[in-house]
Amino acid sequence: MKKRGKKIAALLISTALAAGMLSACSGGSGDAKKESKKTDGKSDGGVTLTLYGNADDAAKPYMKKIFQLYEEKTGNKIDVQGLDASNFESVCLTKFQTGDIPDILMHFGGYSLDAYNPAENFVDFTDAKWVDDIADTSKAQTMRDGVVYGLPFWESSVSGCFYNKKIFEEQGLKVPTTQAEFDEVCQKLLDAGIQPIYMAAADSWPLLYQFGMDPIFKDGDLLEKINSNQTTYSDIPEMTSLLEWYKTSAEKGYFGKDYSTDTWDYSSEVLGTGEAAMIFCWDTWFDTDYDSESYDYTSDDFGLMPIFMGTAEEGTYEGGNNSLLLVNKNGDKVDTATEFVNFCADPENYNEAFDGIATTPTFKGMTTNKLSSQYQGAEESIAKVGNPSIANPEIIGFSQNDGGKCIQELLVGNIDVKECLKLMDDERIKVATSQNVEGFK
Amino acid sequence: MDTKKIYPRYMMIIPVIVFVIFFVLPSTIGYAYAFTDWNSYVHDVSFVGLKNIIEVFSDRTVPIALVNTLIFAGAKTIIVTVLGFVFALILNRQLKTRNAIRTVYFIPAIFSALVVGLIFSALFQTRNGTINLLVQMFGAGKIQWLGSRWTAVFAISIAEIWRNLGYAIVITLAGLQSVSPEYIEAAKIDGASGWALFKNITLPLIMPTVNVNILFSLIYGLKMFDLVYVMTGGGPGHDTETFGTLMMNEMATGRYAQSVAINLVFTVILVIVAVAYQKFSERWENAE
Repeated sequence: MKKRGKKIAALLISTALAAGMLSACSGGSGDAKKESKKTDGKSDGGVTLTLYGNADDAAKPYMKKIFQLYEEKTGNKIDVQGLDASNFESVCLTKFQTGDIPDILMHFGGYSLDAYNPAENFVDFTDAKWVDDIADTSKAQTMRDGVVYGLPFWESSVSGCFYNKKIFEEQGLKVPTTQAEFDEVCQKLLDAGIQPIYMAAADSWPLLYQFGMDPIFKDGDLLEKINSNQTTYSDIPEMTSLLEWYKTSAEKGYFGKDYSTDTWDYSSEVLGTGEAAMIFCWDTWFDTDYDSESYDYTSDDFGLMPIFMGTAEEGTYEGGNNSLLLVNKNGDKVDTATEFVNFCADPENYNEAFDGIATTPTFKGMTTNKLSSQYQGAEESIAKVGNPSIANPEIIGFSQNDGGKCIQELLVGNIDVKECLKLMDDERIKVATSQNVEGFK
Repeated sequence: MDTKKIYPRYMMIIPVIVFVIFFVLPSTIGYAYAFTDWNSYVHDVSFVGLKNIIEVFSDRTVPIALVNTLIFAGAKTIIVTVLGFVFALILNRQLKTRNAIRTVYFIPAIFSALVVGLIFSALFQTRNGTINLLVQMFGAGKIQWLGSRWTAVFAISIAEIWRNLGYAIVITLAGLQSVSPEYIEAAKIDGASGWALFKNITLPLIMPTVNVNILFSLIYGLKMFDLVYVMTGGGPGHDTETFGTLMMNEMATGRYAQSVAINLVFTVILVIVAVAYQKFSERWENAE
């Protein structure tokens, strides 16, 4: 009897444990549902809209400001869920795949938006009033297949080569206007014991090779061919020039001795102490990230000039990349989320959010932003040789990180230029094939 | 035999159900995706046969990852086991500071991989890194520890060994403390020397413990991912990739099926190594 009692007790405990475990698993969703219902109702302070975005991007001061303004004026709430910046795309895509779709998504747009199936998932804003207010430089980024899916709402920077004006003056150097002049400047700096360019190659993304690709692909025909598998990087002579420029610059010492272990974290220090004279970067970085207070050279000591990477004789700048606000068209709160986007597009609101922020205007009606001193100093040159961002958002399968890794392999001597191009093509084609893009199937 | 401790078979039903639902089914279903075209861009997943597995074997980074993984596992297993053994023997002596030293050696084991990775990244940094400052004190030039394959593999291995040595010491120490002093006393009375005592008494008795150490080090070494991810991200280029980082890379580009295919190949390698070692160690223990 005692033995039987023990058995029954053991069985009951096991069953209770299993039941407890299962109820614990399901309990969360039940609570979530209750919570969701609670926040859906307007009785206790309005609607809560969920927003997914890259954690860094969503935490910018002007984003916080617009969320605050919206919450104050409507009583609704924005639940910002910042996703890990380095894995944003994979985490966000996985969430979408599993049906975890937020009310609002912050995304850079371009071809990578296709993975989210915009036609099925996002509100079509083509006929929205604010579309005409979007600056011409930002308009292309808001669309896929001719449909406007997102409101561009982020800082719009100009990328180029930033140089230390004082060092240039001390060394008697003039701002170069051709590739040959740029190479000459690098050599003179090197001879004077100054590292010409700070290249944080260890992080791979700061290789920023897409800057050199924009002039190559600004011709729409070549872009169409690469996106339909009618040509490859290996077939394009300028792509060979681009990689040869990286290789020879590294070998000549233009990136310094430690480029293979240099990381972006040291940018301020290396530029600020004058160890290096130039960096490929974007103008708003000097306003938001550069540590002017800790070093000899302040952000005003830096000027902006074109980037010379062996692909454009007169150099190039890259136009702004903007983050879009997209609305989940299948969500319960689609109307409120659309209202939020319209709120952000109101000139009064965006001018308040971007008051004093260094950015080129994203909207025609934007008046409170300021232009960076670097941008102002190079405005004429930007108008002359600047290009919109093409490679990153428009080439299907382009990956700044994967391509950067291929260039790392080139720089450490594992592969030559030809093999590097093949590797970059393989990486790009792998992704395009996964997408079942016409020509890659 | 204590028959009271043998429970009836039906008592296994609930644990088996839980095991099947929460482990067997998810694993099996998960691995099945290796034979599909599942990725972030397709909506209808379809069967593609061995395409992804073939792709794994034709990928130029897989052999690099395999070699790196084996090096990490081999170096960790040998060094952690040997050092763990040596330190355990020292800490098994009647030292006054024994407990304090044991704690100190175990502290790295409680740090997360992220913390350890960041500490060792800072130590091995080319600019201002402590190791390079020491190297320069001896008149040598700066070394780009994380800038080329073999120095990076070395630096990551050092970090991994540092992190895991504490576990090995604790496990071996437990084994040493379970050796009955009576055996030692008896051997001493028979005139056994220190080496003979160690070789014929201590070592055979703690061999099962050492085997556990070796097996854990081997399996966790083969699964190396976190420290590589933090310290080099698999770079420069793909020079320090492991199977773990390859899987992560594929995931990040939305190629989920290819990621699962790499995982499947890796699991097979892991099982082969673990089973082979188990067989080998059984023979070893029996021979002892």
